[in-house]
Amino acid sequence: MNEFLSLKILDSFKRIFEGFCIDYKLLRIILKTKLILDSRRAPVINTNQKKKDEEKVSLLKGYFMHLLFGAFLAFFIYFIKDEMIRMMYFSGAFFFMTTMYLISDFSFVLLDTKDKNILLTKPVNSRTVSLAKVLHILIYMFRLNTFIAGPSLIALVMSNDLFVIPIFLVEILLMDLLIFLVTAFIYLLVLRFFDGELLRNIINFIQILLTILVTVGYQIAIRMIDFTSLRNMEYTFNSRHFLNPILWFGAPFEIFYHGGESYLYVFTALIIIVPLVSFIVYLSLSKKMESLLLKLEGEGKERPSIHWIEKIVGFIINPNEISKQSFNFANAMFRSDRSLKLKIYPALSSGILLPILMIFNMRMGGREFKPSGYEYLYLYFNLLIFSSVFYLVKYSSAWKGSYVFISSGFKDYKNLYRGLMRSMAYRFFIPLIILNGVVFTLIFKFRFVEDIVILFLAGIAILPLIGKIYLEIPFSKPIEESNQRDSFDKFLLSFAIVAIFAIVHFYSNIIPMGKWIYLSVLAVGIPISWKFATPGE
Amino acid sequence: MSEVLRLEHVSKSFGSKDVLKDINFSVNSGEIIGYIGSNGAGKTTTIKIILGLIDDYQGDVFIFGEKVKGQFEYKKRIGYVPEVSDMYDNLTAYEYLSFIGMLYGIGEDKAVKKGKEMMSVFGIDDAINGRIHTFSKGMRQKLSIITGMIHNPDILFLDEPLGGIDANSVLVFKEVLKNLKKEGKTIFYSSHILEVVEKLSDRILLINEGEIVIDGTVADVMSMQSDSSLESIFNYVTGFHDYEMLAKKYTDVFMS
Repeated sequence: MNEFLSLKILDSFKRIFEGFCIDYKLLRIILKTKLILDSRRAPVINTNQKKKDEEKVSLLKGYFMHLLFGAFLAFFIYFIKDEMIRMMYFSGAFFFMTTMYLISDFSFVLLDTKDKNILLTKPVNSRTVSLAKVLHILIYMFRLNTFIAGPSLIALVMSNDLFVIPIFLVEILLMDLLIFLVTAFIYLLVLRFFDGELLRNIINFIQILLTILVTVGYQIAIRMIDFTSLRNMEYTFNSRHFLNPILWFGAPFEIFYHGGESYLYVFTALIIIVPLVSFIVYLSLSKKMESLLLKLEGEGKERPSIHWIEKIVGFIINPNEISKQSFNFANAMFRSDRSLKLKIYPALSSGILLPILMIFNMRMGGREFKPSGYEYLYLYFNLLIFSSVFYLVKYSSAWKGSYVFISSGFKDYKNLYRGLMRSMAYRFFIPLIILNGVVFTLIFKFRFVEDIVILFLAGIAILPLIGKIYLEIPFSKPIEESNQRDSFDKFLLSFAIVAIFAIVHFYSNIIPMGKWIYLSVLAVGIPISWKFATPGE
Repeated sequence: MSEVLRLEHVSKSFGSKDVLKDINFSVNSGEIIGYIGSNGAGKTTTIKIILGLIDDYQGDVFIFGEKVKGQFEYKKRIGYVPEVSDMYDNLTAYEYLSFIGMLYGIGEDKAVKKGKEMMSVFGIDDAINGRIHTFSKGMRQKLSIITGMIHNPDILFLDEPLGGIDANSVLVFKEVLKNLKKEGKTIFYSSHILEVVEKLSDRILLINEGEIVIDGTVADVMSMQSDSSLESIFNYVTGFHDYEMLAKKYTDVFMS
């Protein structure tokens, strides 16, 4: 087993841990194993060299994205001169990004029951196990921080001096602790009050909601910044800021470089006290959390629900028995596979968001907002985003059940895919278009109603075409593999298809009666597309 | 023979469901206890309480004369093989053996050496450098048995340990248990496969709907019914009489 730098650093705190009655030797053994497991997290079907290389490439790709974001953030805060404002923007972005990655990548560590079964049946103190869990997550966060916050540290050193380094590093540690603790307390509350399937559903809902909120919140926040006035911005104190952690982190820098007013010392004290007190509270509650986690292992009884609307829709739109069964099966999977939901809904949220942000962006530009008349074209992002859903439907956390497609000698994949695509349209695509349609109608009144109808029909016609690119046996691959996005060529192809439809739509608006001709073409084209383009032969 | 395990008035509920109701029994060293009951009778919950995996229960559990609640040192002297083993699947068997050895404090090298020899007995030593997620169900269970026993514990808790294991390895394992009994080890064998329990156990504890309804030697238990099979006694005590009718119903549905 390799030695990890993080463990070597941790070794210097050995005496402190032992002072708190922690078995450091065991703590280190557990952490080392966890770090080895992290380095192997990308699933490997065969342990051959090629796959191992793919694991590394996938890991590097992830780090590159973090670094890209980190570089952007650094570039941005380099231009801000006010220490308070600068750190406000940094900590805001940092909180957003780290929370999002923590929730999507590391919730499973926090909610893990496997650890309990493996470790607590051995002679290991539960306090050591809990601390190992916290440290494991913090080490992960630190690694993430290197890429997200590293470039900002360089920017800070360039605009100030080397003295920023220790202050910044301590602040990062405290921010990480705060983010971890807030997430842990949210889960603790949910675990305390709910049971069974409802508990699992609520946790899933929180994960989806937080991921969407972080994505949406960050997109909106970044667009609210007026870059032109960044240089001249100055912080003005308000007593409400004591309640906003994002504003605390500039205070030590402000004190160090410009001397301090009393509220800055309060901010500085809060930076230290809040995470540390929360940490002590968490450690005292960690045993409770471990026993509450057992609820996740318990049998759950879900209230039987008939899903009338779904049944009626399925009956109406599926003339064929196989496609009807496929429609019901896909709906049941989309409803119950929490890991899959955790991937699909955040992807869809970008679909809802992008067109609105485009308009929002124009309004934030400071100029008077004059609609060009072509804003409906932004809605084609919905169709583009939809390729993500097509990409995801072959994955599932219950993928092993897909052997029945093979063992039963099933052949009618065309109707299987028709039912699947109708389910995707019913659950995701149509609500997405309707939601955006409503938002557009609210913003532009009824100006784009016809275009939204055209977009809707174009979307229905496009589904089998994108399906042809992406669809494989549904829910048949491990959901963990869905991170290994290697299908850029497929995305380009679906982009080209959507672009062609958008261009035709654009020209149909220029030609007299073009819209109505295009509408008619689509009306005729939909059955043809569904009949001939559906994959499965 | 000295007492090694005692449960006093142990009860446990999950929500409104009483899973264990006032359980009382004690076990002496060198005994093989067959702990039997239907699915959901409370067998696994009993073992999880003894192991400290569940600690919000009523009553007391004593191992080697000490209360176990809040303690962990006693786990050095007990081994546990669950029905479905949680393992770190992305480790190799070698790494996992070494990890478990370190947790039990027997050292990495000794754990790997012992583990490899035990694996060879079960015919899986070739897979020692393979990642666990590539193992078949039977191979996983064999590894689980090995890691549960690697530290030479005084009491073994076995919860349906033979799932997925081939017939030859089952024979070997049953002989191992008999040998361990001769060495004075205590074995707490929980199962609903009555044939194995009947052949191995000195004493039977039968749990039904959270209550111990039979506690006696195999001979005592066998004398309860005229046809002298543990299966018929189990059926009688659990109130299950009409298996032929259920089998006919199933066959009819199958043929329809």
